[in-house]
Amino acid sequence: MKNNFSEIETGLISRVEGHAEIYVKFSAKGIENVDVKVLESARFFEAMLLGKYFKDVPILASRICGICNHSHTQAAIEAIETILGFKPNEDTMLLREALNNISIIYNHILHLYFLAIPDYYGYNDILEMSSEHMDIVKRGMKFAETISYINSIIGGRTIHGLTNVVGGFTKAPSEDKVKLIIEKLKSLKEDAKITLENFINLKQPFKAIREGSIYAAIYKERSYPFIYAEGVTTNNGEKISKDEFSKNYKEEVKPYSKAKIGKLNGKVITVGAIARYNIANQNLHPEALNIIKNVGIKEKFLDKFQNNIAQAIEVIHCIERTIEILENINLKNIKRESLFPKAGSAVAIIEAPRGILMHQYELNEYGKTKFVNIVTPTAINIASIELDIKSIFSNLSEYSDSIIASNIEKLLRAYDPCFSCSAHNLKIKIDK
Amino acid sequence: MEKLKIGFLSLTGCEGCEFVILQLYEKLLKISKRIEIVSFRLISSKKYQGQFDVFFIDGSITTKDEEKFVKEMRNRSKILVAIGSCATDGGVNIIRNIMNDPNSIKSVYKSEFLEEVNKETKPLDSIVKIDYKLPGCPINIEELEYFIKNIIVKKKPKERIINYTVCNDCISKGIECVTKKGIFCAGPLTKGGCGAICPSFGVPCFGCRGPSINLKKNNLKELIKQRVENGGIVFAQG
Repeated sequence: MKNNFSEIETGLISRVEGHAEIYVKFSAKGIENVDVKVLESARFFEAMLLGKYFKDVPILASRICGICNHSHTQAAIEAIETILGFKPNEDTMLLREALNNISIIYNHILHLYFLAIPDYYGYNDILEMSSEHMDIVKRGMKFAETISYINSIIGGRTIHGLTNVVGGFTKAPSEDKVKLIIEKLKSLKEDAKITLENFINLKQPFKAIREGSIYAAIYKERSYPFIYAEGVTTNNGEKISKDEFSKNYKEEVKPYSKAKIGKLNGKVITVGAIARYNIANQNLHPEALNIIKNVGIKEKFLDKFQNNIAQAIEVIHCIERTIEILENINLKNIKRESLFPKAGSAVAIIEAPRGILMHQYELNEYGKTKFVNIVTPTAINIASIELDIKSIFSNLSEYSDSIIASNIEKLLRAYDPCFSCSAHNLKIKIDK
Repeated sequence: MEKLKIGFLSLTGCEGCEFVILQLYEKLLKISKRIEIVSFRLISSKKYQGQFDVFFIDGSITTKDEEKFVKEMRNRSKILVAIGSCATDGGVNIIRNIMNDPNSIKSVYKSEFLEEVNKETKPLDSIVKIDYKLPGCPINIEELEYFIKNIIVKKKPKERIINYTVCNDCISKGIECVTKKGIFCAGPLTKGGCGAICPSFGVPCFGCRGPSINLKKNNLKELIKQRVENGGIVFAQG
């Protein structure tokens, strides 16, 4: 039993990308404050990206994260091409969409099988789990391996990809390789369906519902978008432009900690697969819609653990959509245009696997960056995680510290946070 | 016979090298039959306080805590291995050292951050003795496999000795030289063995495997500094 006014620290949280700790303080009224501490030491990426030539920016930005590096590259490319007034041709846009979808699948599968699933089965890790559940472990590994292979064919490499650059692609995959990729994707369809069913049937560790959560994602007419956004929307139906988002998303200093939390128009938002699903599920690929209708999934997810189910649905969607793209793409049009420096500024907002990712740059007339601002999904979600913990765990003060701590860790992992990314979320401006 | 105990942890970096380890996929299952992975925070909740036979560290040293941790792991490990550019050569983080005008960094970052962060980011061997290095951003999976196989089979790891540059990789694979297009390429200065993966996709080398062993380091330092000051990027210090 636990007395009032006690404090819980989770210690270094495992099975998430990056390093973090959570501090929770109980008082007589329940939880008094929650502080998600990101321990990843300051990485100074926004400082390192300053003064860099525009072509090198996406390559350096990739190194922000070892798992969603593709998203950082893509966001940087979108912003820089906008500044330079360049719009790639249709086929280049499609290949970028395909590559991005593959990156989404890769991230989701790694999270679902390597990081999240041991929670549901009560193991420390996937290797331990293989003693009793070899079928599940092998399915996850085969899935991830196939996707890594596809990623390396289109992107040149799974981690810190090579081909997607400012101006287009340095190299297009061959017709034969694209045929092989389509076959491989088709071979994953059954596994993707089993993955979804598996996650639907798993018993959640506990209910994780916070009433009134506001979900935000990018939008694009009649599609379930990940890149090339028209703007940002919420589940309340508000729509704002990318520029408005960059102005209205503000960080406030927490009253009880040195850290900052981000809010959109003063409100805490939740981003990620669960947000995208809640906002745009009607635009999922027809085959994905068909499958979710058959297994009987609701149109709105209220429980944060359902983020995992939303990820499994997105895996199905991304497979179907990528097959569609690759069956119709004209590879002869894939090329790299030479672009010349131009002064200006632009904001790109894309859906990284974990939610809204914003890259904002200003270039001088020589094509070098003079302003850099990066907002990552995990930085956005920290405020949501803190509110969730307050509302979900306040009534649980009678449980032991270790049970509360391990449950908080499970909730945190459902968000699939990436702390390497969020640890440098600081604005920089240097006038020279 | 008792299994060898191995562990992994990352310092300041993107953790991409740990994701390369995961890319061994089913081989990981086989490996874990022969050696015991007792600590791997990225994928496991297991806690382990004992001694390691082999411990792998990725990321570079940026804080006092990381310095302490590396010293502790040196004492707790028979063999300490640096994996990835950040750990072996400082990685992209060295761009900060080169740009290190303390006033500009202070003017843009909150001061509370700076209390915890060292002025310069450092590779592991600037603090402790490192037994083996697997370079690259990210590491090369074949090199990793070769290294781990040697731990399992011979109980003694082996590092490939590479006395040639990335140019040799390009030539042996018949890859068109990217410098012909007027692009800066660090290949002639960089330790080979990567199969020239970047040039093979039309991208120049950024030097992620560190300087080739025949280079005069002082000249290289100046070159790297100039390159970064001109808006370019490099992944290793001279």
